[in-house]
Amino acid sequence: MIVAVLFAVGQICDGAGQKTPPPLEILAPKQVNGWKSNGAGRMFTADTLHKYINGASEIYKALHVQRVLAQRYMKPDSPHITLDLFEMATPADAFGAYHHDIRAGKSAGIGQESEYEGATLVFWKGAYIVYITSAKAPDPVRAAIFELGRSVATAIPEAGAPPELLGELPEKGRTANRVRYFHNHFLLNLYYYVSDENLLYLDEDTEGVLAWYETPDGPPMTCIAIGYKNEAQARKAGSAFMKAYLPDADAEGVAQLEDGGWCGARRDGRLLRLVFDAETRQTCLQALVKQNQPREEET
Amino acid sequence: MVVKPKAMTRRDFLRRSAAGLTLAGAAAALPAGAEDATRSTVVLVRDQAALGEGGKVNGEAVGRMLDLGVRELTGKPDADSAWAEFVKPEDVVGVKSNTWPWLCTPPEVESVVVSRLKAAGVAADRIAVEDRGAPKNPVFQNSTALINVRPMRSHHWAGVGSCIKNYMPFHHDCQSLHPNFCENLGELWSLPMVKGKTRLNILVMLTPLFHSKGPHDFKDKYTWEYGGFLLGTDPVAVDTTGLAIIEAKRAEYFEQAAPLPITPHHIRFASEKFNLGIADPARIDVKKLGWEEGRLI
Repeated sequence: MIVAVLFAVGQICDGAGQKTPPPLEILAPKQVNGWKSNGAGRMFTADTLHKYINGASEIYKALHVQRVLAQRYMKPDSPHITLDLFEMATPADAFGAYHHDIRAGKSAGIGQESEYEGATLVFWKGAYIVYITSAKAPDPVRAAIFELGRSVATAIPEAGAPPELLGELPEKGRTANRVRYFHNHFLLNLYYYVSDENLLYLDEDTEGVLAWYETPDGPPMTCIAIGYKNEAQARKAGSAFMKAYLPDADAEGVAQLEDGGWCGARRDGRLLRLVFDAETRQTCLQALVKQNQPREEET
Repeated sequence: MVVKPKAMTRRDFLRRSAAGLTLAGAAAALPAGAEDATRSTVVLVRDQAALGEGGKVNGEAVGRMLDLGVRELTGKPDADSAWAEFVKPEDVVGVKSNTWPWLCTPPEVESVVVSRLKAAGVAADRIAVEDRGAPKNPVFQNSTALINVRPMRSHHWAGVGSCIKNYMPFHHDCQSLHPNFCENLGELWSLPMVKGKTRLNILVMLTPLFHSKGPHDFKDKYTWEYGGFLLGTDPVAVDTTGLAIIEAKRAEYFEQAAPLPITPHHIRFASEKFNLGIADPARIDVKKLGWEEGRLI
């Protein structure tokens, strides 16, 4: 039974009326189903996270991690449970951290999206991604993991929106649960290698989404949408890409590559769309056009 | 940022493939006989008895396996003389272990290594087993020899954690080695406390981790009972062979070719940039001993 978190924690307003996130410790209950927190948890920032999770910290840093609370829960004669609570800069970053891994496990129905697999519960809600794990999970441990998850999810004040850019990618044929979110070119290259150089002028202010689409034959088609700070940046990146990658593109910005697949790029204001490994020219062109009709102004 | 005119792109790889310029082709162009001077030997030894009920490590079997492995590696007729090839009584020996809580160097393995070092004449007070504390340990500080022993695992940022990466604690600023997916891990082997000291690399393949997920990388379901060790004096060749087993397991598990999400290119860089050994599988002789079922390579 949860005894510590009895109510959802609201965001705190500072003197200027700005919302600041609640202290991470408030989100973690003191005990759950007989497992008690093992003293104060350990706190990490982007600069110190590597001391806790070594190289994996780079992924969270690339997705703008702010703070991390690592809290251990103990119960006599039972495996301990570890809560890792990551506060990211934005809900989109939390979404990105969640979708960094392949999500093939069952949904736990906690937070905005969740997965339970192999004694680990992971979910994201708002700007938080939460991992709750144990070495083994017989029924009582599993029940405690879920209870802990529900407690933390309830304590997180607000849900958040997934990256708006997702709406710029085709929906039809998208492989379920296979989307990625990134800022810099290291993370993009991890998901889909484009170039060893930062050809697309990605930096911490850009954001991009990537998704895969099943094709009847051959590799899946990859679609990428990148949002730049301004139109000039998008234009520069688009030109650099066309020059280095698609110098043979036709007037519509597509070309058939050496492996037979079609590739294309198109700029739309401060947005750049890229398509790789399309089976036909037509498929490539369809994926390059604006996906969402503009919303009507509210009256 | 200025885009260099010769940025390597995915498209370049496609062009090369279309032109038939593969790495294998380049290797085949080596003059006859040239490769003999640039070959490495790795011993893979497996035993079904290495792991007992519940995955418990069988120390006795581990001892047999490591003895068999060093005999094969050295060509010596018995284990004592084989271990004596790696250390002398006057050596001060650091056994660089790995204490990662999810998948550490098993104490049974550490125990066997220490017992064999003692049998080779090294006094107990001249031997230390350490991981993160190694740089501050007087034995490591004064060491003349290192034995590098750790488990094989996939890794979120380096592709794999294996022998080359195991010397990370010797670096005062580990984060400085993270750029470009840890491409410069080979630099570790030039550090004063390490350089030229490694006599033997033992990559523990008892229950390797073949897939990383979550901030701690680890899930029990992505390990399997392989029951093996890889031994060699060339850390690059040992890691290359370990990687081949991991890739084969991934293909088997995911039922299709499933390369690691992060290419462990630090292994290739360790060869080409830091000259630590051989990363070309075609130039590595893998001697396979013991249990054959599920060997994967």
